[in-house]
Amino acid sequence: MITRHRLRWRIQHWLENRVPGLLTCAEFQQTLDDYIDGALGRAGRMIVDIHLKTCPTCRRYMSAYRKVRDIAPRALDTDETKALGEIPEDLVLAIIMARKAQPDA
Amino acid sequence: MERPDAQSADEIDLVAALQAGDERAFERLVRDHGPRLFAVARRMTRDEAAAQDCLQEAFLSAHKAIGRFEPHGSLGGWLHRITVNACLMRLRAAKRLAETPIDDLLPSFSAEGLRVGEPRAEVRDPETELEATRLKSMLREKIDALPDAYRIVLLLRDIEGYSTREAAEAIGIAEGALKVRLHRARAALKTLVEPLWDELGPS
Repeated sequence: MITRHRLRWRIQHWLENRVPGLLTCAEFQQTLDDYIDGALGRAGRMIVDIHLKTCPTCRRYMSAYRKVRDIAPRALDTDETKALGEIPEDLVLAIIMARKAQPDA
Repeated sequence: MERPDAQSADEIDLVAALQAGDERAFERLVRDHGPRLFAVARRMTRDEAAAQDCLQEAFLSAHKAIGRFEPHGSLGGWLHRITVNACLMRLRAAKRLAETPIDDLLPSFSAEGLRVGEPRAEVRDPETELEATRLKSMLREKIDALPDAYRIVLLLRDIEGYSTREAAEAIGIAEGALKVRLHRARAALKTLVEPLWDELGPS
């Protein structure tokens, strides 16, 4: 099990030795949706988790991003945007007339 | 989200009548499905006249293609895709689907890849129904403010129920490009919404 102490030690080691695998914020940004969607493998998720643990800026970014991402569909999915039951009668008639002007299917 | 379930017995009869060229069946199709599809066209084009043209175009396409309609598919889902395609064709013709730069709305990074510009404090969740409603209406406003290339990707994925692959195919870009565009749309939306978030409280 990775304790916080061991994780800190490992990150320190990575930083000092520049072992590839530690993400920059820009790389983190590119993995963000896959991370939230759970589409990263175990190793990928771990690398992102480590970045999040060490980078409060990205942590705050993700928190806000996630909220916006979650609420956007609900913001669009309203009676107002769906406007159920409303279609101008002259549009219905125009469509029917246009169909009559067409050769049969 | 938007796609109705598979066919009912009633719908099978309607399809048969449509395939036989029955004019009254066509009128019923327009009256039954028109309102929902008109809403789709309105939110995609954001233009009343364009939405009307797209809806008419969609029903004419459906009329032409009804002979090829799969009897086991959902008529509503089929019409929905035709309507979305009619809208996309129109937006494409008007060059409204081409990606425009929105760099100023995207996060920036230093040459070392570090995030530049201190983000704000943690955004809080809406505490009351009123706040939640305000937040949603603010988001809608900001989604409308996005360039069409980004707005449409959000709509297809979040509202019209398209998968990444379906949305990519409909727009005519690669899946990877679609994912990047969707991410940029959300990141831009976050930039637009965040400064207003705190003003949601009771006033």
